[in-house]
Amino acid sequence: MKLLSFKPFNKGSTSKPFTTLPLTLSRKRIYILPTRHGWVFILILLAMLIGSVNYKNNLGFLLTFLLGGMAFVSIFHSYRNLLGIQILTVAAQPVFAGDRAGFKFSIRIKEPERAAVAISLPNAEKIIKDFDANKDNWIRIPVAANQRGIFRPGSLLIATQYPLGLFRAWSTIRLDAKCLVYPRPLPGPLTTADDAGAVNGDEGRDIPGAEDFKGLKTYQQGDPLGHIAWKALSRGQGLFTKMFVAQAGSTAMLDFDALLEPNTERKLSRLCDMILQACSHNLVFGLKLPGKVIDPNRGEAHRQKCLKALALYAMPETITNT
Amino acid sequence: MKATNKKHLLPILGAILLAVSPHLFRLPSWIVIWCLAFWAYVLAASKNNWYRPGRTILVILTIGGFIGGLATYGFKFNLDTGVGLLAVMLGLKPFEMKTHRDRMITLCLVYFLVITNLLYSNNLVMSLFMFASVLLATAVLIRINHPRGSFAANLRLSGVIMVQALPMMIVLFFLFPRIQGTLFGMSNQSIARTGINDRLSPGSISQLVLSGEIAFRAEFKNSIPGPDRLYWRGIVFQHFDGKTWSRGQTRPVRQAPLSAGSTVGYTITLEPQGEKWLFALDMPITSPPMARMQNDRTLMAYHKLKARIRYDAVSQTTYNTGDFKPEERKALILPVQGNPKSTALARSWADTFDNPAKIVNKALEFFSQNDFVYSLNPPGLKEDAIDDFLFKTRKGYCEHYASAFAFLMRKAKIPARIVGGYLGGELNPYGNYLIVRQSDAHAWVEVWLPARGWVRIDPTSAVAPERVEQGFEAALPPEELEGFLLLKHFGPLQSHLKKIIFRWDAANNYWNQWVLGYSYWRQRELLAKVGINIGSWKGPFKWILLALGLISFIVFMISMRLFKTPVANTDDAQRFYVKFCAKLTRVGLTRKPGQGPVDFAKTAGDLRRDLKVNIHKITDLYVLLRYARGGDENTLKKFKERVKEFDPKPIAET
Repeated sequence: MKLLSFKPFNKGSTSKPFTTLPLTLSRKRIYILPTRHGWVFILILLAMLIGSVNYKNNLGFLLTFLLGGMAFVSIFHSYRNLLGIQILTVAAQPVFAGDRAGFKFSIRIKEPERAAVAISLPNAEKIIKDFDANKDNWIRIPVAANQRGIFRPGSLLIATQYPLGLFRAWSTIRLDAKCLVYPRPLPGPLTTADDAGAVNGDEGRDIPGAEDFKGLKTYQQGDPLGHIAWKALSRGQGLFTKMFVAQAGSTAMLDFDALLEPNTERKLSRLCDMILQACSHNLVFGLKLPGKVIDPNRGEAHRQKCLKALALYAMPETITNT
Repeated sequence: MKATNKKHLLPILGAILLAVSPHLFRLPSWIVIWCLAFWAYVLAASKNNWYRPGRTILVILTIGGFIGGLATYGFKFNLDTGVGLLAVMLGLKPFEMKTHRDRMITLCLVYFLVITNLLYSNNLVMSLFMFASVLLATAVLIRINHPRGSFAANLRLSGVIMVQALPMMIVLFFLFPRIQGTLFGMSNQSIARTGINDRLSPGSISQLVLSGEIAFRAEFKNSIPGPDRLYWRGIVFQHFDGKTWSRGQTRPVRQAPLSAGSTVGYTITLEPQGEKWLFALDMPITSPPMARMQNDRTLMAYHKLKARIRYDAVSQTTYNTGDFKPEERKALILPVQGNPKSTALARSWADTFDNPAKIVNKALEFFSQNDFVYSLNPPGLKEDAIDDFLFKTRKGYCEHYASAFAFLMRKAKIPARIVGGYLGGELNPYGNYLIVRQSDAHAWVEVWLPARGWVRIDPTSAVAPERVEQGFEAALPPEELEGFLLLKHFGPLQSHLKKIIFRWDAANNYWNQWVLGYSYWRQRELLAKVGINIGSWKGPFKWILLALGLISFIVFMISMRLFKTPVANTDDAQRFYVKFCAKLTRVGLTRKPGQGPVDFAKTAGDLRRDLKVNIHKITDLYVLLRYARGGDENTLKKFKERVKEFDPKPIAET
């Protein structure tokens, strides 16, 4: 425990290496300083002390030292409230830029239970929570991810003012937490490299020229919503999925260079939107970025591969806090 | 009012009420009513959702209350005024407890309120009150910082922290440097003082009989001397102006040891009387470290005694003070004019007897054989007070007898002086110490006789011998005691009650001895026992305290600046957020009641992908402004602009 150390916190220097998980909050990691109210309290104690000295009031001395002692003891309670908190894992599902990246922490607490522990990431709402001992706790902190790429939320701050609110114990952890942020989808027509003309896809309508209708199959979980045979459903025949067969040569190739958007980011956003459309229609599609080509395919893995390529396009691997 | 606020209100009010309770009997009644009425209202208002005054009204009430308070105390700034204003402020404080900050400040004030009580009285009851009040206030403090726990758990933790703090408290208490005198020349006027005055006139002792207050407690190292020797010497009156005796000049001297007689050692815990004299058995032969022995063999402290002190003393109950010193001639001086009859009487004795001892006996005889009455309510005395008393009224309390006797002796050319102090004391069997009360106050006479030195003569004993043996209750006529609450009025309960009172006093005595009577001198003694000798550390100590105060104040100011960035007006932010929601409602995206901003942004953004970016941007700013810490003026400006620019178009229906 480092008492009254004025070391700046919350400013993770880039030169410092990331902390590896799992991590246990140890003596060295916990800092303690009086809160603003702690300073008010100390000031009042000082006034009490001067009054007691001047009036030679022994009961006044007793009260002053009792309160001083209690404030002092509370430092150890605060410290104990953080000591031994274990952060096991941190993970976040990829999101689109402009969405909130939900960082999910798995936290384990050794005896005793902890009260009013505040956990926060920069620019995110603070979460104050009690933790039961010997149980795995999950905490999700949503943080706005505004830019595509790899989003690092910054240092995790674990703090507590428990029990008296006069001292605040905290620990900042430079976690290697990251979230893949896809470009923000920009709505528009689905255009391919083969025909620059608009192949508009209003949801639920078939796309002429791209695929041929083959027949109906029983609905299975995961089938694109746009392919559900709504007419059959409305007739009460049950849930069916329309099956399409892609014709040879009509594979959609989404080409960065073919887009007429004014700048790279808008192009990427359009491509993102097109990938989403293509996926919702279960198209076979490929992606062509300058310097990188992804062969046509379909399915969830393919979708993620393409979106990730967009997210990381022309981005240095290591970025950035918002 | 938010639910958390409601939840905290009752415990905080409880803590305030307990802390203020001893003051309720001291405060002006309107302040008591002011506090209780506002607290009752705020409690009822939070339950029933009544009207609560806004900031303007509270400011007006505060100013009004302050002016009223100052007016009540006559615009004088002292402890009473301070406590009154604190109470006025705390009366209104519960209206303003919306934020964590308000609640924390309120509890800091509660702690401060506790110490103001201690300045008025400090005894065992107040000590218990102090611990109880701190226990409750701390439990509430814990609750504020951890609202989810149960109150019983809060109390328990508060107790645990308190017990853990005790060792530090004890160590600091005994080792923290104590000083003599006052630090900044301020002194406490508020502890009520009764005690023997530095002037003796008819009525000055008898008024003390009404007070059951304890003057001091004396613990004897060995056996306690008999009641006829329990004369507690305090002050010697040398100078007489015809009506009033006063102390006259004394000077500290190194007194030669007394010849003859064995010594008796004892320890006295003296209640503060605001005067300089210490009490010791006739005759003290040593002086405690905080006092010096004077040439009239009284013990005079260096400073007025404003706190309870404890000191060791050694006396000889039989003694011979030796030769007559030239400076003691003033024990013969009387006003030339007045009291002709008494003067004639004394002169006649002086002419008749050649031996001063015989004159003394003659005078005592005069008191015992002339129907003098021992009384608390003697008739008033006119001009020539001594004549009036000796030949007319013949009713009086000890000061009357002492005064008349000393007058007669001086007129008969025998050096005489009056000694003020206490006589007797009540033995507490549970602590084996004597309790000496103000009602034991007494005055007697010392005359100087050749070869015997100063000899104690108690003229009261000639009139009412019971006074010496059994105390004033036995000596006074029964009808004069009717106004007193005496134990004998309790009949069969008397002995039980007496036991309880003794036990309680014994507890008080121990507490006083070890805690409340601890002083610079005790500390010096204690440290000397472990081989540390301290001088006076008042000088450097004053500077250390001032420096500490200054440093913490600067640190405090810096920390306030550090932590406090200009905070944007959240109400403004909310107003614009409502506008933003209205704009979204126009295009069919309505925020459900109770739906959080983040949640709403997600729903709305999913429904209108084209607006998603803007919706999220605005919501993020709003969340930052309203809930997070970092909402400064720039953010607010940006937020307002974004909301103004936000112009969603309805989707063209196809």
